[in-house]
Amino acid sequence: MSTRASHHQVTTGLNETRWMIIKDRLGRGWYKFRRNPISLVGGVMVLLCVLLAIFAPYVTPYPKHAGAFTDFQNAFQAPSKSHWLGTDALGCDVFTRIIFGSRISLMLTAVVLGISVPVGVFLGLISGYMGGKTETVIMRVTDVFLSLPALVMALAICAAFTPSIDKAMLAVASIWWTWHCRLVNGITRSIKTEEFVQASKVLGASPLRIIFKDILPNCASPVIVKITLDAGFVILVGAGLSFLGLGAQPPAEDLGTMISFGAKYLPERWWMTVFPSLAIFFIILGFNLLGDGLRDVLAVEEGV
Amino acid sequence: MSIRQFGKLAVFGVVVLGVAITIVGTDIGVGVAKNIFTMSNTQEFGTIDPARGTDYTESYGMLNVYDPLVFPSPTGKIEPKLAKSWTISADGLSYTFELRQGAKFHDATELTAEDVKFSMERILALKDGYSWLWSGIVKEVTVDGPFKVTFHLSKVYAPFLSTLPWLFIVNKDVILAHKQPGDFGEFGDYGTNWLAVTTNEDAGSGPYTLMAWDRGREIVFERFLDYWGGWPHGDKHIDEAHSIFLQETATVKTMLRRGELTMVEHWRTYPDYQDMAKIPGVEVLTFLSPEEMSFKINTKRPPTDDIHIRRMLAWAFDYETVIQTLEPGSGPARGPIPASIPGHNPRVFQYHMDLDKARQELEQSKYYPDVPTITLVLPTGLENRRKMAVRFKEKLEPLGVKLDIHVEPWGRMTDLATTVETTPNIMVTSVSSNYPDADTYLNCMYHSRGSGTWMSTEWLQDPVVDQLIDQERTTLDPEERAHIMNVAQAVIVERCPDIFVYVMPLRVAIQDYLRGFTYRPVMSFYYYFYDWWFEK
Repeated sequence: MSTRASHHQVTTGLNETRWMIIKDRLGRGWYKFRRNPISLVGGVMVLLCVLLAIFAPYVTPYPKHAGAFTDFQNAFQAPSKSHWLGTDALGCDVFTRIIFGSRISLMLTAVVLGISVPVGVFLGLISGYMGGKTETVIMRVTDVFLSLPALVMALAICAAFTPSIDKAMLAVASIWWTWHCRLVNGITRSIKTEEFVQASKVLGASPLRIIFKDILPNCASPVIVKITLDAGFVILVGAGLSFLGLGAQPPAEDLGTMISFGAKYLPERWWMTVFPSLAIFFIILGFNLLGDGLRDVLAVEEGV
Repeated sequence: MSIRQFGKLAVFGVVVLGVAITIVGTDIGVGVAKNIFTMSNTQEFGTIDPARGTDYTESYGMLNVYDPLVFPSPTGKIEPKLAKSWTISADGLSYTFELRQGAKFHDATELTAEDVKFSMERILALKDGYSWLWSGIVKEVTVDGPFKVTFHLSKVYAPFLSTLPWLFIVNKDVILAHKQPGDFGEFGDYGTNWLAVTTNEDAGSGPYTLMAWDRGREIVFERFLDYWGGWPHGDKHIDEAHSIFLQETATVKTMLRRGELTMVEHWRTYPDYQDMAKIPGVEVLTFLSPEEMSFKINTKRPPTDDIHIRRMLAWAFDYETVIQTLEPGSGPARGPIPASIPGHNPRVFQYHMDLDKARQELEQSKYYPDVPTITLVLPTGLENRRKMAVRFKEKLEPLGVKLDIHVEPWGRMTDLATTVETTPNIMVTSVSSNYPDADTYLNCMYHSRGSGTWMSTEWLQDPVVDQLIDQERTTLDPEERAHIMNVAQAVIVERCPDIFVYVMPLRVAIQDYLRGFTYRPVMSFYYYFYDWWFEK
């Protein structure tokens, strides 16, 4: 009994210490993050985009314009008081469409990274820890995928099916896992020789426990940094697919589709192209600044 | 530098300048004498072999370099060209043509009946290009004299004369001189390999010759000064015609503004032409084309296999907005055939937007109230069709009908059209005439034997319609034939296989010094450089 109680006390104590360490780390990280104005700006930009996208129906002046809406009498209006960023070929408010369009772009990012990161990390961990044939098979498949440009591969996948935004998401996700797989594989290979992993092994911990409890937490910071940096690229690839007509289908429009349609009316009706382009620029810049900031913060952590 | 030295230098400079001006001046003098015409194209030229070409660029390439026997007038009437006159036998099975004497090929040899016979045999043997117009119909061609030729048909084919503008006459001797080993016995490859690679040679008698060809970028035609038809406007005619492959409309507009383009072809959007019309010295010409835009409904796929659903769709379409706002200058559709085509029935029923009637039809449908989603496919890059589709979806939403819009590349659309299962409920396409006769639409779109092409995604396959079309094609009496075609159109409209939207306008932007643009209701026959001249 008493031994059990003391064991409980010990674990509680350990947990408390661990919690304190985490809290301390978080505090220091937040301090570093705050001190770095660029990452702060990036964070605010991303947060703004996400909030605007979530509350799109409430913050946009003409939420109806995001659906099947046409008003050809008001098509091609230049930016004005009633339409801040002008109207497009269908007579829809460009500002409204950009907000709803960024919703699709952010959704694309969330879905793609939501699928590809767990898959990539898992395969990276397994291959790195197991080594041998498992590693050879997984990593050679990864190499094959990595040798193909992401956009070309996604194009090929999309072209084989009826174009839609879901297919575009799956196509990008099906190639994106490789980057995370490669990253995590490398880290795992170096960590598995560390003493604390060896200690766990000697204590009889199962491989799964070692992978998820000992190795995974040590991969977290680089993966998180990569996710934020990736978000921008995924948006760009998605926009590229949409620009080529393989993304969102009418009447829905993401930012790439908007640019693609608007480009036909350049240079006279520039607002149809310039503002969606600026929106993509804004989101990607936001994610990249945030990613850079996080890298600095987490790199310091690793140093400690 | 002393004053003397400066004086010497000045004298030297003046002399050099004088010589330079003289040289450049002569050069400019030569340049001014040439009338250079440039036009944009949305696609490159595949071939200008008259037995091979089909699409709009290929067609006007063939048209300018080669001559046909007959030519369509602006109203679609068939007029003499290389043929002076013709007679048709009482049974409708032989057509005898009297050829014009003195028509010269580009190598200065005379065009004779032998060349006509050879040209028809060549295209029938190659089974490419427009050969489908005559394969199984033209049995034999006989030479009755140096300038007299007869086509013998295996069955009566009422639109035969209307199809002949597509038979371009090639120079038999030149083709055979360039033959290479091939599948056609003594004719080798019929000169196809030579015509496929040559960039400055041809076998034609037309008003222009092939001068240069930078494949994928530009093709140049040069005036044939000894053209048998003569040059009524003398030096004002176009000496060199450059056709440039330019997809980006922004580039096209810039070049037009700078005067680097004389003409912008008809494939840009209405707002683009509006912009171009604002450029000083640029004029936009508008004509009603022989091309009709329709939403083709698959009559064999649920839920559009139900005629009530099809009628509901036809009542729910906003024709007026489309015609007045999206395509000003277009003509309202009435049935499957444009009004400018001989054989059009002006009395068939035409739908207008009436959402109450649409709802009544919907409620009569066997699928009501859970109507499956209707899929609609339209080709990439055509803005107006996307706008129409979104407008359509907007109108269908209050009726509780779901429309799923997909934008697909053209190549994939033609693939989808090959089987009834892959053909979506609605395809947004337009069909143009191959020859100025209502038969061109009826036969390609609604006869069962034409099923499986992008032109026939209705999959109508109706025995009554098939029979009427067969009858119309074998009836020689013009009045009786017109009556049969009228009935066929009425029956088709009653089955509601399409939403007939509008007859497309054809717009070209030109520099205002270009004169003589003449519209003809056959694809590309309006890009006939011989019609045009410069008035500077």
